[in-house]
Amino acid sequence: MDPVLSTKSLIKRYGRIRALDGVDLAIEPGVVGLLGPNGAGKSTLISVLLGQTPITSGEGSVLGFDVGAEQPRIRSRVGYMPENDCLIPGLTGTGYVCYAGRLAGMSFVDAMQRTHEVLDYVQLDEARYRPAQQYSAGMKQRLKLAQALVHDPDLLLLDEPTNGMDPDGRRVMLSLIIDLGKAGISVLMCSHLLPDVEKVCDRVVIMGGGQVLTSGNISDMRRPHDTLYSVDYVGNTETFCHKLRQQGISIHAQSNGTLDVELSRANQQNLILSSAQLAGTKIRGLRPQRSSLEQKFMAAIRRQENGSSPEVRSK
Amino acid sequence: MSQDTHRYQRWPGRHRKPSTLSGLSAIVVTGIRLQYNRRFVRPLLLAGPIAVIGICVTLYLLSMLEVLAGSPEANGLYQFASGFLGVDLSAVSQIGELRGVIWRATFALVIRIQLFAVMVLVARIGPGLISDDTKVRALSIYFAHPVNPKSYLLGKWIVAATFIASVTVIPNLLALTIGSMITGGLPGVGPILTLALNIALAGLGVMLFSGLVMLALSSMTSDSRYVTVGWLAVCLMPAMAQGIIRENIPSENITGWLGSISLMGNAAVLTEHLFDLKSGWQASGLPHDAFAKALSSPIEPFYPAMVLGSITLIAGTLCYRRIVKFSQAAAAASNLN
Repeated sequence: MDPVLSTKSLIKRYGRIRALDGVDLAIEPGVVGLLGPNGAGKSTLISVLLGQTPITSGEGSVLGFDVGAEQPRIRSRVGYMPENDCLIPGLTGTGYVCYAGRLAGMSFVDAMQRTHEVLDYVQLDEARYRPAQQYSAGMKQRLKLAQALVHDPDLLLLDEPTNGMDPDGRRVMLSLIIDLGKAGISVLMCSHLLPDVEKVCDRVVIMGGGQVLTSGNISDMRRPHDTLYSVDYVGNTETFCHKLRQQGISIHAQSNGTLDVELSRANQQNLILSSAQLAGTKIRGLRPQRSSLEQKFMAAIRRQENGSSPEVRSK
Repeated sequence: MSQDTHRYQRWPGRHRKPSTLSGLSAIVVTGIRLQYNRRFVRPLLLAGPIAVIGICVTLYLLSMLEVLAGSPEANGLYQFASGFLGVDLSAVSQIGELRGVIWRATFALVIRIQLFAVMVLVARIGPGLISDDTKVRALSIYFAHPVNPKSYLLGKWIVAATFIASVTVIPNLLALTIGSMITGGLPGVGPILTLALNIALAGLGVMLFSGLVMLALSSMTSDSRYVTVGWLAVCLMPAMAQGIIRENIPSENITGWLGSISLMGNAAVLTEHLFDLKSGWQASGLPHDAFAKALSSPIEPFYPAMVLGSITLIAGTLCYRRIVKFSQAAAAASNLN
């Protein structure tokens, strides 16, 4: 499957600061989450992909078009939903979305017809004729999604799409994104809300310091660990912990009747059982731990912080 | 309708090749509509029809004066015109021969008056043209579409220019057409076309200067109130400075750059030269000092042209550079301003 978006050794410098530091990406069609702390280079990457910011070196393509030379073609096939309100004063919801369609190159008739379709889709019914600046936060987010969809893009870039929304609005927005993915539109979603990303994305890319720290399928990231286990037990905690340490097993967390332990190697669960036997402890349960996206994210950021060179800094 | 029953439908229409013209026309049409709906803009646009009526009435009265020339009834009108212009018109034997000069002078005077209307109208419609977009960070919407900084800037300038034209060029050309129809016009097509061209050129100059200076100011801040204050300062402060200079320095010494401080004054000097009033006056046989008293300024057109041209060029460059910067920072919205 051809990637919708790819970069090779992409570097973007602002003076001495490297906002993007050799980004290598190949994102296949689907819904992909782009994660990273503030200043990780996510916004710069989007700016580069839209052809707004010239790259310092490297290559990049979006939907098969070169980011340096074919900006208008990229922009006409990509929908962008910015994080900020960016609602033009004086325009109604309909006027705003239709304007976005006209900017994308649609005729007025096509743009207006399509405007009503996408406003129906994002569930802005009668509100569409009200000035957009009077909308609630959730309605504004849905209006921004509508303007990104009006020209029926092949790729959607969503920057914090659930920002400022209440739980119900968030649920609606996430269901819209899932539906868009099913309709064949590729989505690159930037968000700080990891549960949202876990819910809607097939894959995730984690950035930090202008680099891609890790990427992969969310299902792979949430695969059960073969060295991390949770142990439910009954007996003397001190003795049990002592015996476990003697076997080279690390103890990460300890709560009432449960220990989170890490084996030095995989498939050595019998060491836990033998430690319990030696300590006179009864094992009630032994299960492998599943890592969350948050754990993966934090681990990637920690690795980057520990290993980064001083000159590699985000913007 | 619940989300569960409503699925996204792909658009069956054909995607057109992205063109600058489409985005440009969208910016212009939407920009004009938004500015037209602003408070006080429609009353200000009445300056256009008022100018048409005023010019047509003037031209009609002048034609009446020609018809009555030499008759006792015309004496009162001659005395009124002499008093108004401060020129003894008795030297003119046949006022009909001076129709071309009088029409040119009329339009030159009208354009001078229209500059004030332009100043007020631009102060109303111009400040938000770019600053509103930067304030709400709407530039990220523009530059995520096939719109480049040039077409964005051109679109915004056309919006400003359309409003300026609606109180200058359009009413003036309309008045020239109506005036020609009701009075018989100028002798031959050539003088009428020349006059129309001069009106268009003067209007284009006003549109370029006012539009670009306003856009430059509007691109510098996201608060349109500061832009309004800046615009009025640009228009009025040089005129005040020029007034102070005129009060303190003998007028024969106020030449060159020293006499080209007032932007309004510069526009008046250039209009006078564009409409070639000086040679027209000389051809009339009227005394030269009367011309200086009634219309002229002793400034050579080179200096006002340099001042206005330089300001326009600087404003255009500054504005373009700001828009390019905004376009590059549009996605990284936190970098704006």
